[in-house]
Amino acid sequence: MSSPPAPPPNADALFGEVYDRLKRMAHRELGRAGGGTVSTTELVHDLYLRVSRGDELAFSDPAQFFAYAARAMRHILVDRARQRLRLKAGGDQVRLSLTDPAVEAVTLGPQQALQLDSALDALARDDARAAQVVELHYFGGLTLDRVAELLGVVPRTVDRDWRYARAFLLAQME
Amino acid sequence: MNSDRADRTTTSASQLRELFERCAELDAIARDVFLNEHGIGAETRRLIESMLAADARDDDDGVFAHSAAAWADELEMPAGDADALIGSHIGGFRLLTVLGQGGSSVVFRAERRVGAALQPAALKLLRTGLFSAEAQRRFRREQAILAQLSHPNVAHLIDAGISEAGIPYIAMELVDGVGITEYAERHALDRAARLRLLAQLGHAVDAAHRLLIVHRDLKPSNVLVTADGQIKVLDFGIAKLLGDTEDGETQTQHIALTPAYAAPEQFRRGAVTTAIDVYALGVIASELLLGLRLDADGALPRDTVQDVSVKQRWRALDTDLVTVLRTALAADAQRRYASARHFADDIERFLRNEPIAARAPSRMYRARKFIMRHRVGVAAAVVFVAALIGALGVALWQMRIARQEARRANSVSAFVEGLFAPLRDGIAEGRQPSLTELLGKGVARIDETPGLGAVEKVDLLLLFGRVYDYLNEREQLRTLNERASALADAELGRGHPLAMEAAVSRGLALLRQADYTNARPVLLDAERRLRAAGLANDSWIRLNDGLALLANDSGDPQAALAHERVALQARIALYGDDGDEAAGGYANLGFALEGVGDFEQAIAAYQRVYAARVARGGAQSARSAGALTGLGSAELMAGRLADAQQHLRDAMRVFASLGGKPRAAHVQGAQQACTAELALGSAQAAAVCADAVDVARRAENPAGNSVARALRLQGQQRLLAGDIDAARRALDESQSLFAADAPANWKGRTDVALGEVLLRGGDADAAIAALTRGIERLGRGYPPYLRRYALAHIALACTQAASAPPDCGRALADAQAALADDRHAFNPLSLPAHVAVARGELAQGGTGVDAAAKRLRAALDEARRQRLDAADPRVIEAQLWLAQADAAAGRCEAAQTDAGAAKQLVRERGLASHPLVKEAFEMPPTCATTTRR
Repeated sequence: MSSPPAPPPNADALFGEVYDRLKRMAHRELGRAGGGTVSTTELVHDLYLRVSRGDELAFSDPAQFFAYAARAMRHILVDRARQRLRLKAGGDQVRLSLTDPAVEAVTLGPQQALQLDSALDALARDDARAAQVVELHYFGGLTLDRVAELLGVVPRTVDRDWRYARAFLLAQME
Repeated sequence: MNSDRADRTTTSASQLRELFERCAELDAIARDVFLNEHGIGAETRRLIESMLAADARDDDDGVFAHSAAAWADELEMPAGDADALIGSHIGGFRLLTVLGQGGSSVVFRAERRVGAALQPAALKLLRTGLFSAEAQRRFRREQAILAQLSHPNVAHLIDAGISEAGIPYIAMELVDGVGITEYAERHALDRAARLRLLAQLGHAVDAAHRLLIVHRDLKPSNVLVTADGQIKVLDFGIAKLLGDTEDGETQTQHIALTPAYAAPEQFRRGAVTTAIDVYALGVIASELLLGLRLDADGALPRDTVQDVSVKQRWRALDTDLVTVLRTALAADAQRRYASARHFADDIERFLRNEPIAARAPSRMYRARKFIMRHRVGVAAAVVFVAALIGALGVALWQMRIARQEARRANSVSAFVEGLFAPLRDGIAEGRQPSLTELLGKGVARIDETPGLGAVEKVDLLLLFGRVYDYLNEREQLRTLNERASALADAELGRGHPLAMEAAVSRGLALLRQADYTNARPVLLDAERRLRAAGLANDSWIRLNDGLALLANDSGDPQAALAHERVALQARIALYGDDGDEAAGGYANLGFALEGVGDFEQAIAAYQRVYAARVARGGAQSARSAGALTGLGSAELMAGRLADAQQHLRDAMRVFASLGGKPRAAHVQGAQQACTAELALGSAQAAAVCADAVDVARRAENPAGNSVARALRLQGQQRLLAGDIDAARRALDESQSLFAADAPANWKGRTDVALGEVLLRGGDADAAIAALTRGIERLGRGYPPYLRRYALAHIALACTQAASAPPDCGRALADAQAALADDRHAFNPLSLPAHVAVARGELAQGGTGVDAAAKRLRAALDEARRQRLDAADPRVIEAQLWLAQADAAAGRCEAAQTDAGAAKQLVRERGLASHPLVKEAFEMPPTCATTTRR
């Protein structure tokens, strides 16, 4: 089923789409966890700025844009995880470390974020499309159906990719 | 996981996936059987099993239970970490309580002891580190500029620094107040009171803009109102303080951005200008006046359009205020209020019931038109101001006397700001103030402006001089530097560092005009003064660079080298051994070393330059490619042709990938690349030399000196390719393109090339004339091999001339002596020179015959060592003449061998009529054991 190719939308409109989705998503989950909302906004700005910082980025199609946004989100996660670890290991002058062990117990630690990142690298070496599905679905926040649409494959293929990728990543992170 | 790597290599990726998918369909027992049947190794099996276990798990509290965005958010917000810092010390401040926390920073109430008193402060601790040296330098530079900002309605910067862990902190005036919108609510302010707050805010923002400090993140939480109703703007310039990219005002922002308050251009990587703060003022105003944040162009937010109460409030708003909001919120930055002051003025006019300026369309229209028409001029002015402020900021930091200097920079900034006022106000309708005009006005105003001390005046004169220098206005540069120097000597005294700086600048300005006679005494006087003061500062470095230039030009390369060594030493002492400054010093040293013929040392110096540039900006930068060009050129001179070829090719690749109008180093490098390919007789010479011409033409339109130089090389390439007519055409064009005042040595090179072409074409008399003129023009300058090349060809031409000039008598001896210089004794660049002299020696007869044979053998050995192709016309030519020399010496067998192989190649390659080969090829074999010519 081939639909006519969408006209190339501009990056701002595309960003609007991602912006809203990510913001809602993060907001909802933080709301559930009782967290604030300020940082949600900042997080999304961070993403936007990462996207917009590239030199004269021109997105020829939505797939390219979402791939980029997802990649940016992945970088943000890894950066922040590294930052966390670095601050923890920092000198005496600034100790911006977690002081409440209970907080750390219920959240996923920065170490796991780095593990996920390298597991995803390993997956990409083995099965590039499965890794792409993870990026778009997990980091880009797109539904699997939308991912299938963007990659131009049938939904069943993406479902299989996701199932395999998820198992692979979780096994690697153990 | 590492342990399974060996096993995994036998289980390919697709197999792993297939195994997983097959097993996922089976129950536990069937899986075991399946895995056993297929002989799956233990490690793969373990992996498959843990994948299947993960697949079966629900992952409710695991990695994929939440979105990546939520996870990243949690990592950014370490709860409760700030409390742990209470009681600790940062930058001399003791942290007392947490005032607030955001995603990227924590603000503490802090205090430090100043004498007997305790100074309170709001200390902002960034969660993001500034880890690169460049980011830290910028932080300090910006801090110096922010320190100048002093306004009652702006919270001032007390201190800022970077902890050892790379975490920046900023101590600001502690303000006891609440956000502007909250304040208005809490005190139920009426519209007039709200407008008065907005006007106050506009003036505060304008004060910062006058120092070219942009807030970038104005929002109610950054605009506090104290108990006595005073506005205090927080965090002015902080965004830029923490930016991690280069280049002042044109930089795009990416640190803080709050979408509701961000101007449209902030979403588009637009330049950071004061207009984005004006936009934010508009949003804050709409919030205070309407209780909601308007979108660009004053549009109601989409989700409020249906809201009846919003519509009512909107309609109730005075049309003048609607105009004010729309003007501040214009999507097009050029249609906004030209400054925060204009915004404040309009609000005050409204409060006084006067007509607002934004309503007067002609004025706005004029301003807009003006800006549109002079966009280039405005951009240039902005660049100029940015350069000015940047230069002062850096200089101030280096001098480490920030307080006194901040005052000085303040008055200078105000001066420059005043200079651009007509442009900002847009009243210069119908006129086009160019940068030159503005500069001229600025210079004229220096004397009339009250409040400028001698130091400021000298500084400004030197600064305007530098700008004239950029514009290639050398005469203006000289005049201003002379004024600066005279003023400084009279008002500050000859021992004042600035007076010495001005003296050095004056001398360098004279050098710029190639006025060596007058430059020398000025520079020598400056040298004595700096030496007496024991100063090894920037002036000392510039002075020594200048003295080196002077020495080089007066034919004393050793003295030039000594000065460059002194300059380099000072650079290293001031700036360290691995930065940009040191790299510049090594580049100068390399040039001086080439001048004295120490090419190996020069290569080492250029290697350091290259390494430093790569470390700084990566290998793909223009500056790195420029350094690589220098390295390749030195290798060329040292006769390390293969290295030179490689490095120059690499440099050209980088330059080509950068695109745009070719830079000077690209033009230069393309010509060196052509020289290298030519020397090696490479098959790519034609293409590379054509590229050199093309690059020069693109860089220089209409064609002039650069194209002329490239054409000279192309002429030589054409000759080597055997097309003597094309060579002649290229060289004629080269001659015609040189400007009258082009350096003589450039013209000399074309003369020499032309001389060779004339000689090959059989016109020895014209060749002698061209070559002699070439030698005169070359002088003893660089590069050294050309002079010998010309002398050798004169010696040969003298043997063929119909009417040999009297100088021909000693031409051969001169050429022999020049070629005996062992720095380039044998080098493919000088192979044709050796052939020419050998032919002269051969014509001389007697002992000349043996000398010629010896010379040719050595030259051919070197050519082979440098891997010149045996079929290169220059090699064949040398080979054929060697055969002649051997024959003349009676070594008939050797002569036959030499000639046989070479002639075979000539026939194979169809070179019989090649201008370099023809003559020797057609010479009959003259081996006679008894008769010598």
